[in-house]
Amino acid sequence: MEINLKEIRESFITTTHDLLQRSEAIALEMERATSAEHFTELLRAIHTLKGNAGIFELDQVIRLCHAFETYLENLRQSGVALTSNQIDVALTVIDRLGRLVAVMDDREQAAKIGIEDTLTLMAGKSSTVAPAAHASAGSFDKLRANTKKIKLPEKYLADAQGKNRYLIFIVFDLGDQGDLTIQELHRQLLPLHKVGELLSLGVLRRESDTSNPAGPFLPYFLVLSSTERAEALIARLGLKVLLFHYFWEPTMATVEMPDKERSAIHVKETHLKVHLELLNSLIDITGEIVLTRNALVRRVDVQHDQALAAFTKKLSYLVTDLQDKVMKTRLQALDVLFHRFPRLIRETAQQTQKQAELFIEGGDIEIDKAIIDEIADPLVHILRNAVDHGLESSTERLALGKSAKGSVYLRARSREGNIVITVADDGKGLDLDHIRKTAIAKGLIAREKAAAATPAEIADYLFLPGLSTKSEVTTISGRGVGMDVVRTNISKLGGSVEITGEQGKGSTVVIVIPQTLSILTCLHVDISGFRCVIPRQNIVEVVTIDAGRLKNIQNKEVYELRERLLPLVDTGELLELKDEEKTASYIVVVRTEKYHFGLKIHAVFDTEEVVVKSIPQYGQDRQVFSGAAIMGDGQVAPILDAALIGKQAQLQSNAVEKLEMRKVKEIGASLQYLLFRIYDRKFAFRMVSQPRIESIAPDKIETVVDRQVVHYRNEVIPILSMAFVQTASTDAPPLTNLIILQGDGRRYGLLASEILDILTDTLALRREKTDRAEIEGYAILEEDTVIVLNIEELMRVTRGEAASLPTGGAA
Amino acid sequence: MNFFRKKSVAYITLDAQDIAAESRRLWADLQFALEGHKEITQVTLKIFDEGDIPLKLVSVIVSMALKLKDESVRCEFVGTPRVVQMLRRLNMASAFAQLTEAN
Repeated sequence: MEINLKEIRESFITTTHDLLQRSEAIALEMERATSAEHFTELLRAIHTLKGNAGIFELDQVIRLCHAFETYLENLRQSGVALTSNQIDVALTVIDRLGRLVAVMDDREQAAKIGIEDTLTLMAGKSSTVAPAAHASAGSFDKLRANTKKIKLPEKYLADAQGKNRYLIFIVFDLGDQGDLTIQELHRQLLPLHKVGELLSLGVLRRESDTSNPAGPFLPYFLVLSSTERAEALIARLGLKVLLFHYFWEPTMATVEMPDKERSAIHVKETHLKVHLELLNSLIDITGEIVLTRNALVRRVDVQHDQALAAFTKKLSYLVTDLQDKVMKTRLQALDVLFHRFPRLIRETAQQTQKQAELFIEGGDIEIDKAIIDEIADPLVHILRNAVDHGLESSTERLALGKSAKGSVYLRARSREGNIVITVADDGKGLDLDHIRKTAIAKGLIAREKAAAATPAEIADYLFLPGLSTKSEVTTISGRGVGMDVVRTNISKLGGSVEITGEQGKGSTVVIVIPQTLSILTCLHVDISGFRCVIPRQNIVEVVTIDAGRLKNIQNKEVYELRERLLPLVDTGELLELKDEEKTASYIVVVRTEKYHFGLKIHAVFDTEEVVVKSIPQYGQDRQVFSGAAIMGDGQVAPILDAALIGKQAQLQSNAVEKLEMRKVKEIGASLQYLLFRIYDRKFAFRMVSQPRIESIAPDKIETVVDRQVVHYRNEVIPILSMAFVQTASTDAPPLTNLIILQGDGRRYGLLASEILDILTDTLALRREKTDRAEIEGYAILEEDTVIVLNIEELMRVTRGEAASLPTGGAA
Repeated sequence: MNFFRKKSVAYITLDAQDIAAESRRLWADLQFALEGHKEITQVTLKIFDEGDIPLKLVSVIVSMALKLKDESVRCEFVGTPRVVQMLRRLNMASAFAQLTEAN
């Protein structure tokens, strides 16, 4: 049998990545509470890795795993809870194993990385005989925290940045270097000029300890600007190092992420087994196919050739399916990004001498890989800020009646084609007065403007370039170059970021980003002769304007729509395209995470899948476009961003929205159901928005590949699978009513025999555990049993994402 | 170890045995020697060794100098030019009130 070494290698890398990721998670859990199971699981993972490494003769990995096993065994036998110091050692070993595996094919590089310092670290920290007074975990933690806060001269930082070098701070115990002599130490420091510059050295006087009768502790520091990483330098020095910090890493210029994490991501990419460039070109080609398809559909529409039209429909469906699948190849679960954050929070908390815990939700949500790469940086920044700026010290928290340990929440959820990521903390919140004063003092905002600003506008000052409310510059924050970069990066993705907070009650940062880039389904509209598109994921419905329903409340135009007052935005006026001769005929009702309003427009054309291109961020003050779309006819149309328009029109703070909310409350919490019949059975579903209902000729429905679709307004819409509904007889009448529904950023059709009514009621639903997931429950209505459908589940089943298993009981 | 006191100045000379001693023991000996001499305002520490001195010894003498400095007691170090030079190059001179080279 032929052994495929390449496959074994890939499998080894993937398995190692998973084992190390799990090991890191266990190590972090052990810091909270250490149990025998933790040791067993961690030892098993490391033992498996050691065995696997044997296949490839990775000697360093094997030796390091072996030493780590011994280290863990000793700790387990000691029976005491692990100190923060010991967790640091474990994490260092796990990181090193990851780096060694990442360069497994480059023995020279692996040798350069080395393991000696890590072995020394373990030997030093696991020793049961206290080597000196400083060996206590508490004093080590204090030393680590204090040295992280040291302010190095700015010229050192400038020098490292200018030369693109690491700025490293190394600390070792002068009295714990074996038989090394003073001249030998001097000699060992001399070759450092080959890899950089020794900027400073000396005794860390403030950290020395002469009070312990067991002996003095004299920490000694080196500050180096180096082309090599600290690990390699330490191996070169041959010293028994206590700790080291990076005050600057070349990678910080773009992404503040250590190499070890980059290498971990690299391992994940390899797992895709397709080179990313190939995937990107596949996306580009698909974009071109979509454009060509759109152009073809337009041509065929005017040809009136039935046979050609039939082929085009099938082609159209296949292209949509292809595009859908290609986009999915780039989707990755947010966990890929989130799994590294518990450690980030831990390290930031250590640096700032605070206690913090991270709670994560929604890591299973999938998002385009390109977006994951882009949001990594902003999220790192926001999370670090949450600990550094947001949380109070343990003492302060206890004095305020809070728990000593602060909480940071990272939540992701999917909503209307967008991903909403929230970072919240239970810290001190936003001191709006301080933010206002700082913005004025730094000349970032005029005093008069700041005086009249609303709380939301003041909170928004945090995104101004150069605004930092921190008086000291540390390695974490204070330079004021953070939040504006966060907003710029998120804006580039067509997303938005907002911050809110109340003094003493924590702050919340909400990021809204599209789930995927590249291709969007948009509604093509005309505003005073100007063509632009609105992403369909934001559109609730389009209504024809009935002049009698237009109202003016407090100088704001609103539209009375089904007993609700909808705030209106005059899009022509907003875009400075006001044409007195033309009057808007339609309202496009849009909804975003924050706003729900109507856009007045002059004409509505078709929906179209468009290829999205970025446009320069001109006129930031009046920014209402998130990009440009290349249309089927080759023309370019800007994409209207509903969130930006909502913000421009200041809808959040106006009285109309409050009025609308009051109206909503008056209507009460009752739900609306659409009641319809399929053959002889009554069905209903909860209406989130008003569905469109059309009559459909049976010949418009066709089966393509393995599913039913309907061709509707130049779009091929999948029909929700209702295969579980049995017809009463074989000659049952055809289903001629098409209910157009929207979900997950696309449209679906639901076929019905007859539309019966819209109910505004709270139905008492009954459900059995064995019922299909697509059925939300049963209700009795006018002595008839009505099956209430779960539309979201039906959509999932139609997409082929879920088996129709019961949701309540065991499968 | 050789210790004697003249008025408010204490003279300590470390010999080969002290240089080779375990840090903990040497530290305890130095503490013991200086214990109870509250009126001392200066300590002169002498090491006469032709060769090199181990870092663990350096750690003890620099720590002692820093401790004395905190107590407002001057600590003067007298050693071979090579050792004094190394203390200067490795930025440890500031722990002492004075460094004196002696052959």
